[in-house]
Amino acid sequence: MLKRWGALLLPLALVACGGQSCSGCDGPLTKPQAPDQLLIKQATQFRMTQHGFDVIAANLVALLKVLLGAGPGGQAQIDVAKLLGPQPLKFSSGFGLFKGSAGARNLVLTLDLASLKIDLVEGSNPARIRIGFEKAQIGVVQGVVFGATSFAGLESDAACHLKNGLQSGSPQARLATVSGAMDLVLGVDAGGKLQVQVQVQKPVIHEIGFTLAKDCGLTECTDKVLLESACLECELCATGKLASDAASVLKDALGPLLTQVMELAGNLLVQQVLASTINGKPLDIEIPLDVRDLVAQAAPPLAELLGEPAGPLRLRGRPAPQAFVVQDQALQARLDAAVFAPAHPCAVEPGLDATAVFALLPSGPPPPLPAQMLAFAQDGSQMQRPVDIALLLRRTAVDEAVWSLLRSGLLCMAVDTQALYQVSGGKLLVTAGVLDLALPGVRQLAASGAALGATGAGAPLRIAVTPRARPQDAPWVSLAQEASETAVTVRLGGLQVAVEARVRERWLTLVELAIDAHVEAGLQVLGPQIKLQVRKIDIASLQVVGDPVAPHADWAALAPTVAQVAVSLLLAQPLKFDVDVQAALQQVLNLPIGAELVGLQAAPGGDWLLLGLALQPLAGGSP
Amino acid sequence: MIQMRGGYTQILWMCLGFWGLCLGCGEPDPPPPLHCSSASQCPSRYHCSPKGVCTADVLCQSDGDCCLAERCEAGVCRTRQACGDAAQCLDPATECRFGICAPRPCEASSPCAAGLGCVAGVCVAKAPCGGSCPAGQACAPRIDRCVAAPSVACMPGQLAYFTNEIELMPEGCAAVPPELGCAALPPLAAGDRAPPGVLLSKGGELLHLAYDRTYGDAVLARYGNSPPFPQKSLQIISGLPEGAPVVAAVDGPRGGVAVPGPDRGSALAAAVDAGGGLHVALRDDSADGLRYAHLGSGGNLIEYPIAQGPGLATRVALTLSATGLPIIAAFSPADPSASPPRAARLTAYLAKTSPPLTSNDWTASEIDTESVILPPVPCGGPCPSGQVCIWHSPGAAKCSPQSTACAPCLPGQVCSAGQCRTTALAPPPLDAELLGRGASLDLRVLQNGQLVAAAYSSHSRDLAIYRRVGALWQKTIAAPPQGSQDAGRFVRLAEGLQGQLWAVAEDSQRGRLVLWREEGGVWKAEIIDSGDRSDGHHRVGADVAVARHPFGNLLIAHQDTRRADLLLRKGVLPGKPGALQTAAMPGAAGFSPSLVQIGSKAWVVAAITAVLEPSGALTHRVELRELIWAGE
Repeated sequence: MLKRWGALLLPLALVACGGQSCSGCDGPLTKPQAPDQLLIKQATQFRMTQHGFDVIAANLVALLKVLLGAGPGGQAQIDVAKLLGPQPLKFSSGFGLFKGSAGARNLVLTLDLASLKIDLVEGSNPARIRIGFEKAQIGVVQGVVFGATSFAGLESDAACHLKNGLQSGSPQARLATVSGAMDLVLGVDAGGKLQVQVQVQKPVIHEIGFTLAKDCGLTECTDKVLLESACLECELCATGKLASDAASVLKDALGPLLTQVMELAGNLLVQQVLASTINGKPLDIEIPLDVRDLVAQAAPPLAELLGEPAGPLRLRGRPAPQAFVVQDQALQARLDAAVFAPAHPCAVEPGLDATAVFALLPSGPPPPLPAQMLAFAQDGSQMQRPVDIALLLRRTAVDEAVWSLLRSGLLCMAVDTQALYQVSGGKLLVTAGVLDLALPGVRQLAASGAALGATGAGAPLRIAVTPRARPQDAPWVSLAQEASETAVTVRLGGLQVAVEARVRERWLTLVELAIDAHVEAGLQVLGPQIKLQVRKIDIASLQVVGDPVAPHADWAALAPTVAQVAVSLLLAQPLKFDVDVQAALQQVLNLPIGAELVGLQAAPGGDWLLLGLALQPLAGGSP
Repeated sequence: MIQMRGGYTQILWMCLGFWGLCLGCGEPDPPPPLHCSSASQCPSRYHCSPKGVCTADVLCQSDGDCCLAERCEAGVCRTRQACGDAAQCLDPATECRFGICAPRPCEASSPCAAGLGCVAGVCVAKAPCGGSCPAGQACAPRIDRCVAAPSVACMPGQLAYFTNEIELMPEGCAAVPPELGCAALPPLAAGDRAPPGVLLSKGGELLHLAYDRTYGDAVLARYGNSPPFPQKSLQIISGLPEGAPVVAAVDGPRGGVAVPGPDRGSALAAAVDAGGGLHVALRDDSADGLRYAHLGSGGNLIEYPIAQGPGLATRVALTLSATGLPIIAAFSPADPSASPPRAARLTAYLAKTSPPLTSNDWTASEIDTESVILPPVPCGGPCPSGQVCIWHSPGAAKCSPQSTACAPCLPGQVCSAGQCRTTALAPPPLDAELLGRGASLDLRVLQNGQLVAAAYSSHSRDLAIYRRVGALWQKTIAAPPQGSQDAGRFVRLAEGLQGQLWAVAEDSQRGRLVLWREEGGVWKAEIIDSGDRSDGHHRVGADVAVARHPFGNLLIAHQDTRRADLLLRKGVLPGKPGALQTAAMPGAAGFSPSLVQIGSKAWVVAAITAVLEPSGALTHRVELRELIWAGE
């Protein structure tokens, strides 16, 4: 599985690589090298439909219940000491006989989470995910209230057990009934880090009722102020006066307590779901991507034909202003992105490397999200499938990627007879003898000065390709959606193609051509793979440059034939790239959710490329 | 009626000898004359003659069975091209004579068209009858055929021919006595002088040695030593066969001998000694060996083989010792496929006398050898039926069963065990390059008298420098420049400042020109020309020639193989790449350059340009140009 093809899912991969445990990227994170002026505003968008969000929300609810220790019935048991620490809960004031320093400890509460619900807050900016509960019942499993008291003129302390006071003795016995909500706010700080804040709305306590019970075993009850009655100071627990006095105080205390618990639970949730992924990590990051290596994994022989790039392709992304918003009932993440590569001297003329052009290329608005897309399986079957997540890539970013690939020198190729022979499985042996049929005399030229017995017919040839990576030639790419495939046409302008022959122990250029070529390919999602099929190479224009050995040759007639041979022999089979969407998603969300590729399509107008994914709960998975 | 005619020459001589009695010769019993204007008006087995009379067909098997005016077509003699009052000749270059369209005769007053010469009264592109006929025959130039004739004595360079060929031609083999003459033959077309080429200065002239690939000769051209450097003569140094017929003008190329003879000079090197003697080392492709030639200042040429061996002298270098003795370095490439495999050999041949007159006057000294082992063929050869050779790990290929369970695999892959695997192929059958140390080499005697050699290995892809100490050769490897693992091809040695030894060669991996110099026993490389230009990279290190100015700077000629231009770089010193000048010329220029100084500021560079004609013919031009350089 080519895990790094997850990087195709740029937004996901970018955030996935924000973490220190980014297994999908090479090496430690370094300062981005892609220049700021290359960043294309909102070049990539990540959108999650309501259906997709529902899949995730269901998991979040389940996770929250797990975090809060809820059982199958939805009753969460909250050990406040474990959640908030062993220090007792201090009340703001005393009550009843408790003159001051009153508080509660050893609180273990139950919270009925059956009504827990997670929603996107429509129109929120930054995006808010609201987790709410309506009229949830809170019960007390155990707890002690304590405080200072004065008894018989003596200063002492006392404590009582806290018991449910509403419908006590019945299965619905409870301490209180409350409603509340907290928002997870997806913000980005000034440093470009994702900061998920938990904002809890003040809970509404609809009712509260409790009783107190004496326990002479409590520490406060064993002061022996009165020797004849060792537990006398705790007798007040039995008086209804204390309980009625405490009701309002406890009500006042319960709100902040719940707020604290919810904040804590929210933070736990964020930590659990986004742990070691993106929260609190810088989002202005860059992924190095070795395209030659990727091609080698998909098609080792073809990779041998590619040039040695000056460096990896660098995919940079950083949050756009208002990166996360909820709009049209969809959660949207918007990233400014850039694709960049170090310049190879064969492809970049010094001083001609202006780079601001991509950000200025016109581009239409992003398309609406399709509810479903036509999905193709590897067995050829097809069906409409819902789309849960859509990744949108602006075409100008694809243009920038093409420019970067050219700039890196990947297409600076020098393919000789032996390489062609190997890559074609021995089917293609293009020598001077073969070229002699189209360009008479080449065999003689190659034979002159050759080793003893060499006739020149077997002299090797070499085709050297030198791309010109000029930003001003953009746009290079056009996208169009067809019935089953996305047609991608790349215009390669000013491509220098030299035909060289091995003559007298050197590569002698027979002719150098400046070619404008159009490479047309079809892209299609096939199950877990993205299939790339080069369909044809059109020679749009051809010009003989330099001082060729054979200026009379009709290269204009020959070049299309050569291109056709290349397509029919070398590119006859599609390249199939495995895309591990699941791995990429796992690096973003630590939830048992499966992800699959659904489809790929170009938006009308060809300004956006859209990759659809589907989510589903993993069988047997639990948060 | 059909008549079977004997050989034309038999008939002709029968008629010539017995012309008075030859009434029936070639003519059947005359039927009543039947006039005609086309064959359809004649009976079966008759045809309409140019005279407009139905004439019996004559059976034949070849043109020789027919009259001069006829050719054998479908087993019967037919007039070559009939004409008469009713049918004029269409080609204005011909005229109707004796019933056939014959070329108009040429002479000095009516010269032939461009590319044609007037030989025996006929405009021809080359000498008719190949320039000569066997004894007892003479040339019928219009039909380009030797036919029997009384003997006639012509001088070498002349062709005996029928001066009244036309009169002999009319159908019916007219009984006209032959008249013979001698025609001066045109000179042979000059051969195609191709690399390698060596330019030398001798006295008041320039000498350029090259390989004539048309005839397989080592040829010496003499030029005037000032622009425009007119060519004065062309002399065969080696390769002219003995006793071959003269078929062209004797004062033309090769003395009029067209037979190629032995193939010599595909590799050559030369030097001129202080006495004006020219020493040449050359490869003999026919005898597979090394030959030596010496052209004395008086013009006397001696030439003989020094040694023979497989591939010997595929590359040669020659220098002169301080006392003027020639020293040759010769390379024999490795042949790892031979049985037993043959190692590459680099051998020095040191003359004991000057000039050395026989092969006994030479001593051989082995400079170096290099064994070359080719990687094994994957899977040891073809796999059994139903199996394919695939890579299991880098360098390890195995025959494995081929299956069809895969989706179509990519090019270069094959399905095995349900997976597409990369096919392991034996290397394709390509023309081999020279293998081993010595594929490029040079030889030099320093001012201190020390003999040094340089040899590039096309196997190890590095450069070795040798110093002869006593009878031994001390070898040092000159490390390639940074960023390269293949440097040293086209090496040339030069004596630098303070007697330092420098070497200039190509960085083949990156297409650069490199200068090595020895410092403290270590060879240091520096890039003289990176090849980086405003329009991208040019490969600039091929075919190096080096000359040293008395001031110490170097003048380097080399080739840009991207543009096929000759490059000249003046004033090169360590740390100074000098000034570059591009001598752009049409065609593929800059092959086998060489440099000589002809004045205090005047230099000449000779280089060879290859031209591929639209017809596919390959020709070469030797071009000399003056270069002004004061040593700055």
